[in-house]
Amino acid sequence: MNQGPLVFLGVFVTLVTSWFGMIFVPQIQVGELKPVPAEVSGGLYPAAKPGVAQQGAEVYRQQGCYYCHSQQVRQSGVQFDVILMEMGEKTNEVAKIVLQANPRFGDKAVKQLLKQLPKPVLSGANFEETKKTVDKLKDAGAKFEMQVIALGADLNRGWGARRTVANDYLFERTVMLGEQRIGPDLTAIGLRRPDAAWHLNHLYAPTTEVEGSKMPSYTYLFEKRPIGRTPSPDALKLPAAIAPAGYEVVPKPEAKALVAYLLSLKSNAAVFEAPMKPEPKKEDPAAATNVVNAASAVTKP
Amino acid sequence: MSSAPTNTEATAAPEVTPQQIDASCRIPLLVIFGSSAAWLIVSAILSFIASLKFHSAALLADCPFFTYGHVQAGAFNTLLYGFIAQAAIGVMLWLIARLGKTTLVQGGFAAVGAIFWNLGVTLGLIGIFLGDGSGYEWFEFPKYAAPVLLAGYLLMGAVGGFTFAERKTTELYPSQWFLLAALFWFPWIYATAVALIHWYPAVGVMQSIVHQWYAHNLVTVWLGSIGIAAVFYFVPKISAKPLASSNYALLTFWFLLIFGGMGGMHHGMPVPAWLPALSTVMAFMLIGPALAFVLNLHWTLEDDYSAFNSSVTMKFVLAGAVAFFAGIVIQAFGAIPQVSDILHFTFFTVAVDKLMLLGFASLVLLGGIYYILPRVAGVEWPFASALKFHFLLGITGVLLLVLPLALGGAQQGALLASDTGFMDVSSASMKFLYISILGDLAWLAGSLLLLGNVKMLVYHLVKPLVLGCVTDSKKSKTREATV
Ligand code: HEC
Repeated sequence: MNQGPLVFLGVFVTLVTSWFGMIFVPQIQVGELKPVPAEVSGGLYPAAKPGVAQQGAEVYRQQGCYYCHSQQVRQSGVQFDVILMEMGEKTNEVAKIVLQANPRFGDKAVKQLLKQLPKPVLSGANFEETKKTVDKLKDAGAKFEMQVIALGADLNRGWGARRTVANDYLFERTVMLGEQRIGPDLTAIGLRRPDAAWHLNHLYAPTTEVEGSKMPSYTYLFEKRPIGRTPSPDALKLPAAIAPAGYEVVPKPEAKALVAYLLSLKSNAAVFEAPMKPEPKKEDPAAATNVVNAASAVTKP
Repeated sequence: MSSAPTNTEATAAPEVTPQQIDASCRIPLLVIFGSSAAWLIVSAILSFIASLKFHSAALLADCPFFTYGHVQAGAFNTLLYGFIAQAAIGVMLWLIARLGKTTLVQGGFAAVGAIFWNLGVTLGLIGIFLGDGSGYEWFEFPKYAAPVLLAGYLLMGAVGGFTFAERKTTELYPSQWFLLAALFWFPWIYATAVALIHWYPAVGVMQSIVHQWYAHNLVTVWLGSIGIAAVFYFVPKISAKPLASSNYALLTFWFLLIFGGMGGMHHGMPVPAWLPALSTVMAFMLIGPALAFVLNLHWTLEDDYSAFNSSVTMKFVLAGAVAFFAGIVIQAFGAIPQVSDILHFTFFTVAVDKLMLLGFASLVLLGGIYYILPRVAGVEWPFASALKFHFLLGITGVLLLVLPLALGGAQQGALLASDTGFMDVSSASMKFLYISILGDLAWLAGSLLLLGNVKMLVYHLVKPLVLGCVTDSKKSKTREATV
């Protein structure tokens, strides 16, 4: 029997299936994304980058920065805080629920705690635990607020305020998520290091800013020229050890654009689908003693 | 159907001898294998330079063309398109002709296609050095190189397709299924990627989805198919034992295509969550066809691995088969979300890439080249003893690259997940990277052995022709003189 046509047909069908499932369907789902109303600031998110930052993105691609830097923040899980706002009618029942959720706490301490609302009654709890408590509070008629907190190593490193979502990349001509983290993730470098001068120095000679840096230097994005009568206002302020005597180092337009791009990297707008990592709280001794934290054992700090 | 490739049914038409088939492949395969051997060296040298740059940032630092991002991209893409893809196409064409018991149809077009292909790779490499790289790993060749590559493939692929249609055998041997799939898979995925990344750029992360889909299909399905086709051909052929089970081969075939085509997105990508979830499931499903593949080989050899010692090609392809299985299993476990959280973005990913590209694809294809080239050229390998050494160096290179990078990556991932400072993580990886330089060197040395052998083989082939022409023209001159 000639199986040729049969095999050909089968190959064709699998190929089309793969294409349909992994290209066509996602294209319908994310290929037509539009900026969405921003949750906090008003306006639309994301907004198009200024032109010079867009040129900088091209420089970033041309130089192959994405071989060492990712631009993608992941989240490994979430935990919940429940804050009691009002006790409602059934104060005793609510107190019992709070005690159940925090058995470590004595009866008296709970009573004390509930005198001054709002107070967190559950913090860092997992989903099941939270749902149980929240359902009970709802039945008891108490008023409360729930907060979702994102967890993950990337967030702990301060590489982003939340995990990155499809919308963050809407206006990128080339999406350089990256494959490796030989250098730190740059999703939010514009927040972490807002100083353009730092970036220029770092690009020119990384070790001046970070001791022992393994990042290559990009001296060719700069121009070295004799200091004239009026030194250029753009000239880098380099440490004496590497500043060439009699010369000044001035960034070329590529370097300036690249830095404008780096400073534009923030990805910190609140979006519906990704909870934020809370701002590191100022130490509040009163809060520290009062926080009822039954579930902290389950989750990493 | 489960018989060795040698004894497929005879047909009424006059038998084409293997020698005739080989002769019909001579010119295209000399172009294809000759240039892929050259690209193998280019990529090995670039990869070595990239590794050195880690340790001495001053190396070529002031030269914009050779910045790390360019050298690394050049190394990857010349390995992938210059050596691996090109050699894979060569092996594919030869297998299609041999298994179909028919001469290569219009082999000249394949030679022209190969020239286009090499032009495309050259343009692509120059483009990367000039900063025109696309920004997508493994797909870096710029917009203007893509049509040249595609034209080259279409010419070579058409020759393969027509030769397949001309086959003189009625039943298909398992390798032929894989080859038929490979023939169509590449142009489809490459054209999709070129269209949606270069020509009509998709919006935002959709480009990343296309890129991951392409890269995964390229390595797992396309190279997987050609590699498995070659292994299913060479192992029975050299050991003179029929392939144990064509049912298992069938299982490997369909499940490789179905599961392999649906993967590639890693956990945490900023895309709809079902894509990475589906990819993880598919990564596990792929263990099935990979296991069926290696078991089939094991049953074919019936616990008798003596052929391993007798033939270098056997060594290369069996090592490649093991690497394929290992790569698929490791990728499956690496796709578990909790594991991926730690290992993705580390040197571990690089280790897995090296395992699939060098350990699997390159080793199998080298085995193929060492078997095929002397036959189509009609000249023995000039340095026959170098083949053994290349195998040793190749294996050493793969192990010294994959193991340190995998261990270093695991450590890097664990440290990144802890609260160790970034610079400490960075310096902790260095000793692993030092060892991997030895791997780069071993691989480079092995590649040089291949290039030396190919060069001498071509020399031996061309010398009599040139001498023949010279003596011919002398004769004609003397004839003219006498007239
Ligand atoms: C060979 C790998 C490599 C390449 C290529 C590379 N970097 Fe880096 N980068 C690093 C390493 C390692 C660090 C950490 C040490 C340091 O801060 O210098 C780093 C740090 C940085 C930082 C500071 C991050 C922080 O959190 O403080 C920025 C900004 C940066 N790189 C930008 C770039 C840009 C822009 C390019 C391309 C022009 C680039 N890098 C290319 C390896 C690389």
